[in-house]
This record gives sequence, structure tokens and C-alpha cells, in this order.
Amino acid sequence: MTALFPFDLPAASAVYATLMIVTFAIHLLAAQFLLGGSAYLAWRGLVAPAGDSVLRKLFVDWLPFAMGVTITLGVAPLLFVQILDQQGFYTANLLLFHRWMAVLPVLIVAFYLLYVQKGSTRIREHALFGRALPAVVFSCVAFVGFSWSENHLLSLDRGVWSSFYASARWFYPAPELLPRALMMLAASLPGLAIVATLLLRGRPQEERHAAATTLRGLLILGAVVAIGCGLWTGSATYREVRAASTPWLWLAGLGALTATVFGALHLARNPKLALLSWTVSLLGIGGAREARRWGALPTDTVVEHHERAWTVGGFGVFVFFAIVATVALAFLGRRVRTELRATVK
Amino acid sequence: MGDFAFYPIQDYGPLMKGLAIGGLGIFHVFLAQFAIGAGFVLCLLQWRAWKRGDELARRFLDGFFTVLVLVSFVLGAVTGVAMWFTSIQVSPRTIGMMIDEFHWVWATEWLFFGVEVAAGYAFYRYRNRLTDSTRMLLLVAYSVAGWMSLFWINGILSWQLTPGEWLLSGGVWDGFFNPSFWPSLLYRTFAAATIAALVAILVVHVLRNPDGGPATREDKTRLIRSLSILFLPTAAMPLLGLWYLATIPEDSRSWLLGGSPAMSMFLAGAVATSTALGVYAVVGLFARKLYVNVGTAALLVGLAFVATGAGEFVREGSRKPYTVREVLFSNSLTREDVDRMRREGSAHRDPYPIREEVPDSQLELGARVMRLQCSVCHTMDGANGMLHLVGPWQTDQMRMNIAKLQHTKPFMPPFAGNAEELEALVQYLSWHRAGRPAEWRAEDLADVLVRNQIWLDEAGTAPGRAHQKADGR
Ligand code: HEC
Ligand code: HEM
Repeated sequence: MTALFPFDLPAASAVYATLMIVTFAIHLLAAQFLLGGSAYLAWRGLVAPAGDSVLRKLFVDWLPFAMGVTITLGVAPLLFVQILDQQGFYTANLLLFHRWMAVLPVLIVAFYLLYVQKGSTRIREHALFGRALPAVVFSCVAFVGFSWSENHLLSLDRGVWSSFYASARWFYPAPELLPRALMMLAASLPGLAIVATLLLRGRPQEERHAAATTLRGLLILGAVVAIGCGLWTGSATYREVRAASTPWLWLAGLGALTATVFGALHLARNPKLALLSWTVSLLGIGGAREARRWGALPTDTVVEHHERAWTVGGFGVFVFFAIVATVALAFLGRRVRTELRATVK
Repeated sequence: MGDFAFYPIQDYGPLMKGLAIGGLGIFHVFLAQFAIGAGFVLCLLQWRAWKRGDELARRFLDGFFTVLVLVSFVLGAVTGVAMWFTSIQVSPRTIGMMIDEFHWVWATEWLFFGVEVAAGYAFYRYRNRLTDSTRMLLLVAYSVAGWMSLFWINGILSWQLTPGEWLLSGGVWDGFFNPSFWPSLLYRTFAAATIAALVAILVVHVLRNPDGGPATREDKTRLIRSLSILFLPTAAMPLLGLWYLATIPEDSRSWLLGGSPAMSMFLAGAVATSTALGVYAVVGLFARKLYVNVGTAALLVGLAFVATGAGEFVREGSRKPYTVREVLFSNSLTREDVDRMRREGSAHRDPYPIREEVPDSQLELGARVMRLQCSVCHTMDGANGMLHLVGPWQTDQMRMNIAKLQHTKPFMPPFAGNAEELEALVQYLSWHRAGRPAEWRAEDLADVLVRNQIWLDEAGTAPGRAHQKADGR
């Protein structure tokens, strides 16, 4: 039996692919909170604009930060994708052109609207803005996520690059795009539910109670729809790249199922088990994506590229500062938490 | 052609690509330097609040921090990603080479960026519930992390212009601690302090009293005075500028000092604005403790922006004809690519078709050559427009000047194609000049190609030299 992808690859490629899988999974969790949270606010805004429920308050409060975190955590996989498939990633960026660059102003608009939403109760409760604002924010965030999917698919489909360029089109509606985007959207709800439960710890009992049922519902609904859309997505992808992805897809599916079970049983009491299973599921998605990517790459050229990249220095320094940063953050975090506990009213 | 990766180069119409990245770059650098300098401002104010019980400093700090979060967390983060995306659009091979050589440095920078965001956000969220010492710690972590991200990125950016020992050793730290590393790091650090202090003075004017009324003039004066110490390093900036100039390659320096009128103008602009700013800051604000009203404060911030902009333009421009000095030309070809393409041709393997309707295959080849080799700096008839530049030239003059491109203007790379491609490009330009007629008859080839080859051989593939007088054809 051969080793699991990417550990069957030459060492340098395996290292970069592993880093990509891990950093992508972390980015995706943050993106899920952002995407799911803004979807929830948009939906609540439409059906019941007045009144701040516990969850609404929570999301309004945390989403601006979640946006910053999502972007920051996106930079790490952004770095590694440029090594793993430099040509593919750049080519897709260039081909989509203005359409791809549109992600940037859209991010800025969403970011500021999130702060507006957080800063002004009047706007939140306004008959029109209270509905429109969260809907606009959600559209922006969803557009960004959708664009990443589109760009990713275009980077894989090397056969279409030349004709895509000739046509000067700005959109790449691969057959897989819609089911994939829906899967990502549905999968954001369990991520949202789990992170929200963690954020609510330490809040008064009634608040947690008030939110628990909704969060559990979101988790189950999201996971079931995501698994369904995942199967649909799988049926739209190429057969020849499935083999290496299969174990990772199982991991993704099983992780999601386990998270659903844990979530249904005791999300509020013990969210950590759900988080753990969900993380496994995210890693599964990351692994499956990379296995799929690998199937699309001109292997010899990229392996050589990875090996050359691996010979440049600096890894030791990175590891050293990673430890320094972790220690510093842990120290600051502990200190802040201790003082917050002392001042809790 | 081994692993030469062709990219689908897009047409920006009348706009030059460099302008896109230049414009955004100025904006981003200004914001990023503001964010870094803001760390110093915050630490200074928190120190006063903590050690001297200065409640005014504390109140101002909290207000200033909100500005910082709204402006710099949001725009700073997104414009950073934007820089990356724009660099990919303008020159994928350049950013690719930077990633290949420095990805661990970049990853390290990212760690500090993470610390900056985390510490900043913890302060933003919980500052009212924390003790002074913890507030101070968070702000110090924020500032140090912010400055460290400058430290790391500065090594990569300065390497582009002065790769130094790296050219021989290929070692990442030889490239990182390159000849212009220290002067540009110090220059940017001081610029950051100046920018942030100026913005802070502007923000002083929106300060409110606890009762909601506008702050008194005494309060404002006191705050402006306590910020004035940050202007002291501004005095050293001219010296650092000279040090920087001394470390950059001779030909880049000569563009700046008269070789290229546009660049010299921008340098003069940068020097003039920053000197004016520096003198006012040091003499007026630091030594004489002048009061600054809103209008003046806004003007000073505007001047700082202009100075940053001119400085960035100079930095980007002085790299020509390279994006990575001695290694990668602005049009993303390496010196080896040029040698090889002289023999084997350049653009005929490009898998991306030409979108423009052209009457024949020679013109199509010409269009490909222009796209691959020239379009990064030239448009057809917009910014730095080719038609305008070759305006009255005879066909032969065009052939010779393009064959000897790096000698025509030493801030252009050598022509990277064979005699047929040169001819195709010349015909393509002539066809456009003639108004793109439906039919185009090229001249009898054999003769022309022989002469083209002679000119190409005379030009060689070594880059041009500045002392060959920038203007001499
Ligand atoms: C590094 C950027 C860069 C590249 C690449 C480049 N040029 Fe230029 N070129 C310039 C600049 C800058 C000028 C000066 C414009 C001016 O003087 O206003 C210039 C000037 C010229 C001129 C006018 C020269 C003169 O003496 O008046 C011609 C002709 C020209 N370029 C042709 C080309 C051709 C053909 C290519 C591609 C094979 C090319 N350039 C590639 C930057 C570039
Ligand atoms: C803020 C809104 C964002 C959302 C909702 C979001 C969401 C997503 C999603 C859903 C994917 C998976 C796409 C797929 O596999 O189909 C993805 C991939 C990715 N995202 Fe984000 N993202 C956001 C912002 C960012 C930003 C700002 C960056 C860069 C700094 C980033 C970096 C990445 C990278 C590198 C990938 C992998 C791309 C690839 O493999 O081709 N993301 N993102």
C-alpha cells in the first residue's frame, strides 16, 4: 500500500502540501464563522429586523474581528499556494483580471459595513437599513468566498486557459462551481455554531440557553446539507483524480458526521468534541483539495520547483519566531484573561 | 525552452500597469507606515497615562485607537492583500521569484502581523477593563510586532534593488541584509513616526471632553506638545536619504540625479516636501512648541502623503530596467531568457492568442512580441505610448533603435528575440501608425533580416549603461 497523499510525494512537495492543508483548514474555520455569521444576520434581518437576540448581538459584536482574522489567516495559505502551484494560481488571477481584483473593494465595503452595523443600534433597527445592511454584508462576504472557489477551479483546469483568454471572459462557471459554493456555504453553519458556542462560554446561563437550540439546529442543518452538496460536487469532478482524494473525502465526511452527532447530543455542554471532529473534517476538505490539485499539475516541473524552493534558507528562523510569537500571545492572553475575570461584573 | 512559464498578459488600455501598482503602493505604504508609527504614539501616550497619571493622554489614546482600528486594521490589511494581488497582475514572475526566495521570511513577517492584530484587538476590546501595566504590555507588543513586520518586508523589498552578495552566494540572508537594508529600514521607521504623529495631531482636533463638548485649547496644546518628541528623528531623515542614495547602484543613482527628468523631478519633490515638513516639525513643533490648527495639521498630513508618494515612485522607478536587479528585467525575462530568446525566438511559443484582429501572421507575431516584452512599460497610444515615442522615425531607425533597445534608453531591457521577431514588432508598430489598414504589405525580407541581425549582434545582450548618456540615440 502506498502512503496517504501528500506523504507519498517527494519530501519538499509533501512539506508544502502539508502546510497548505493545515493553514487552509484554519483559514476556512475563520471564514466559516464570518460567512455563517453574516448569513445568519442577513436571514434574521429579513424575517425579524427588530430586537437584538443573544446570537445577533454576538455576531454583530464579533464579525468585524472575524473579518480581520479571516484575512490574516488567509495570508498563510496564500503564501503556500504560490509555491505549490505558482503558475496555476497566477494564471487564474490574471485570467479573471478585474473580476478577481473586485474581491478587494468588496472586502473593504464589507469590512466598513460590519463596523457600521456594530457601531449603530439605530441603523440596526432601522426598517430599511436593518434589513439591507446585513444582506449587503452577506452578499459581499459570499462573493469573496465564491471568487476563491472560482479562481481555484480555473487554476486547476489548465486545458481551458488559452480559450478562456481568447474569449476575454471574466467568469468561469465550471460545472462544479455551484455545488461547491453551496457546500462551502452550508458547511459554514456548523463552523459558526461551534465557534459561537465557544464564544458564549462564560456568559450567563440564560443567554447560553437561549442560543443553544438555534446553534444546534444550525449545526445539524448545515452539516447535512453540506454532505449532500459534497456528494453532488464529487459527482461533478473528474474521475481520474478521485483516487488520491478518497481517503481525505472520507475524513471530511466522517468528521462532519461525528461533529453532527456530538453537536446534537451536547454542543452547549461540551463543544470541544464537536470542534475536534469538525477540525478533522476541515483537514479532510483541505487534503482532498490538495490531492485534486496534485492531479492537475505538471508533476515534473512542480516537483523540481518545490525542491528548489525548499533549498532556500529561513525555515529555522521562521520556526524560532513561531515559538516566540506563540509564547508571547499565550502570555498576553493569560494576563488579559486573568484581569478580565477580576473585573467581571 | 525548459520551464519558461508564459502568463496571460492582460491589456490595460491606455493605462500603464506600473501606474496601478504605483498608485496602490503609495496608499498602502502610507497606511502601513502610519500603523507602525501609531504604535510609537500609543506607547508614548500610555506611558504618560500610566506613569504620570495623565488622564488627558489616556482619553486621547482611546479615541486615537479607534481611528487606528478603522483606518489601519481595515484598509491596511486589505491594501496589503491588494498589493499582493496587484503585483501578481503586473508581474507574476517577479512576485513568484520573491516568493521562491523569501517565503520563510514572508511567513515570519506574517507571524508578527498576527501578533499585531491579536494584541491590537485585545486592546481595542478590553482596554477599559485592564490595568495600566497590561495596557502598556499590549501596546508594546503591538508596536514591536508592527515594526518587526516592517523589518522583514524591508529586507525583501530592498533586495530587489540591491541584491548585493546574494548574487554570488544565493543565500537568503545575504539577500535580506543587503546594502540598502539599514538605510531604508531606518528611513521608513522615522517616516512612520513622523506620519503617525502628524495624523495624531490632526486627531487631537476632534477630541471631545468627557461632557461631550469640544476640548479646550490648553488641552490640545498640551497633547500636541507631548507628541512633539516624535518629530525629533525627522531631523535625521535627510542624512538617511543620502546614505540610501550612496548604497544604490550607480546607474539608478544617475537616473535620480538628472539622468531621467521625470525621476529627478520626483526625487526633488520628495526632498523638498520632506525637508519642508522636517524643518517645520523639528523647529516649529519640537523646539518652539507651536500650536497647530486643524488646517495646518491637515496640510502637514497631506505633505507627508506627497513625500511618501514621491519617494515610492523614486524607489519603484530607480529599479529600471530590472524588477530584481541584475537578475530579472522589468518585463519578467531573465538575462538567460534574453540570451536564449535571441537565438530561439521568444513569443512564438506563447500559448495565449492575440485578441486583436490582424491581417497576417507576421503582425500577429509582432503583437505577441510587444505583449511579452514591452507592454509592462508601454501602451500603444496611451501612457508612455509607443506610437507617440516612435512618432516620426523611419522604419530603419525604428529597427535599429529597438534592436539596440538597452542602448537607446538604458532603463529599458535588451531586446529579447531574433531578427524575425524584431521585424515583426517593427511592422506591427508601423501598421498601427498607419491606422491599422485592412491589408498590409511587408517589405522584402531577406535583406532586412540580415541587417536586423547585425544590429542585434552589435547591441549584445548585456544591459545598457547609464554613462552612455540617457538621451543619446
Ligand atoms: C522597463 C520598462 C520598459 C520596457 C520593458 C520597455 N520600455 Fe521602452 N521606454 C521605457 C521608458 C521609461 C521610456 C522613456 C519614455 C520617455 O522618454 O518619455 C522608453 C522609451 C522607448 C522608446 C523611445 C526611445 C527614444 O529614444 O525616444 C521606444 C521606441 C521604446 N521605448 C520602445 C520599446 C520597445 C519596442 C520595447 C519592447 C521590446 C520597450 N520599449 C520596452 C520603458 C520601457
Ligand atoms: C473575507 C472573506 C473570505 C472568505 C469568505 C473566504 C472563503 C474561502 C473559501 C470558501 C475558500 C475555499 C474555496 C474552494 O476550495 O472552493 C477559500 C480559499 C482560500 N482563501 Fe479565503 N476567504 C476569504 C478571504 C480570503 C483572503 C483575504 C485571503 C488572502 C489573504 C484568502 C486566502 C485564501 C486562499 C489562499 C485559499 C486557497 C486557494 C486555492 O487553493 O486556490 N481568503 N477562502
